Amino acid sequence: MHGFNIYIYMCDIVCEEMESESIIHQNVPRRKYIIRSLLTSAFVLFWKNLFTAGTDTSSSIIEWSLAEMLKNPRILKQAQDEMDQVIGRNRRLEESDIPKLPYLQAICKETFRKHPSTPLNLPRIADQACEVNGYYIPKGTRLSVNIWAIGRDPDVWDNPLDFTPERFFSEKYAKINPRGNDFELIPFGAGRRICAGTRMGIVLVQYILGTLVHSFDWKLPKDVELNMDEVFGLALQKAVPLSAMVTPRLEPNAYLA
Amino acid sequence: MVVASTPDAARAFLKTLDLNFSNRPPNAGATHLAYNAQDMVFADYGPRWKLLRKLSNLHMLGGKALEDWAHVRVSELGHMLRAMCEASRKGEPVVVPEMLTYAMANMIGQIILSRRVFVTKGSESNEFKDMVVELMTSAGLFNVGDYIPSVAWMDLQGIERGMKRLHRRFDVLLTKMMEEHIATAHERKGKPDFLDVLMANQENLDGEKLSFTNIKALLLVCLTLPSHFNYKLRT
Repeated sequence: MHGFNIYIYMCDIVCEEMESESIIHQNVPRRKYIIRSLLTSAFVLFWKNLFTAGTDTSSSIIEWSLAEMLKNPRILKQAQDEMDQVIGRNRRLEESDIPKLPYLQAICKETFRKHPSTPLNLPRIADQACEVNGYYIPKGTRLSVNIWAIGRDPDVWDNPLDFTPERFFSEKYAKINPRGNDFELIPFGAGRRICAGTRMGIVLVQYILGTLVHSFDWKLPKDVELNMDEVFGLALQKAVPLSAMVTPRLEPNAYLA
Repeated sequence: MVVASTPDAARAFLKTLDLNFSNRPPNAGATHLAYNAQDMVFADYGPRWKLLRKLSNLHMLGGKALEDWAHVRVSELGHMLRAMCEASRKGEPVVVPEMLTYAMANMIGQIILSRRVFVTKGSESNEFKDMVVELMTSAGLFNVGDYIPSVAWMDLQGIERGMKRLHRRFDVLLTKMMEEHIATAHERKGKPDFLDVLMANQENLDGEKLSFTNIKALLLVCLTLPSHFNYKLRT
């Protein structure tokens, strides 16, 4: 926690610098206000990073995954069969079950591939001029990585628009993991600036999605058609929030713990 | 601007040239704010950035930290499952993103404050939740002045005025929350939450003080985050 004090201290230094250098034409209370809001923004960003990053993004992956399974109930059924075999119906899924559930893991990977939550990653910038594949990249060039396009690249993925978890059992794709080492699948980015919450994101998605699939049967509400439209903005979200009817499928006691 | 759209291009930039591209564009703040920022976006690659990564790993994201709050995931998921059973009994549909947001906001509340933000949907609302929701929605307003300081003094949208009013209200609540938290500290003996750790560090080795106000500012921020700057992405 020592580090936190240092952080506040650094924010103060930044503020002092700003106070002495810039915005000198403003009147004093106004200046204070700006500096205070900058300080607050720094806090906001730090905590926002920790929190929303972990929730909105994981939540969107889980939502997309369930939508794909509602569209294709065979996948839902197969995931449930696997869980019934490994876990049974007398208790909830536990995090320690996940290594024994390869199909669930494949579903998660397939969702990370087809529906990455931040499709263009976050921009980076070239500190120095450099050369890539014969092209000259000037200093200060901005770099975006189109994660979304990579996940749907037909040169890499067979039938990229299909949602097929089984592909991760084939020799070609079996070794691919979303942790930033296999550049075919980089939902969290890669390198030094890889998402700080990669580990947490994977745990949350596998555990929550697995639990939802194991604990309930899923159906669309009557007379509702599944809408798979994407809002292709800065974050990739479902245009229409997923709404579904659920039916418990475990022993009633399993829900009490 | 260069866009890497194939695995090979991504490898070239993010692996071979990773170090050269280890910073974010300096003025990308506004853009970042609208992203579901998935990184320590605002820090340059350097000591501060490393510190932020370390801090978040230590308390939330690292392997050990994740294990430490595994029980929170279990209990919050339990609440969610029971709410879903209830919806099923009533023949009502479950709105997936809403339900997930509740569960995850509660997980965060537990780690920071040993407190759940949302009680199960359907039960009576509480003051805490109402305040958080109000702050989440009002703080989501986009303030031009935050991005173009030279026009900030005009407070074009009257947001500053509204925010100040809201801050005063929230100050009362936060003070109350911290007092409550202090009063119940003994219940968390051996199991301190994040706020306990902060309170215990009000004075540190360098004599650098973490004031009551600092902590309040931090709490305020923790609780308002979910929609701060993330305005109207879906609507």
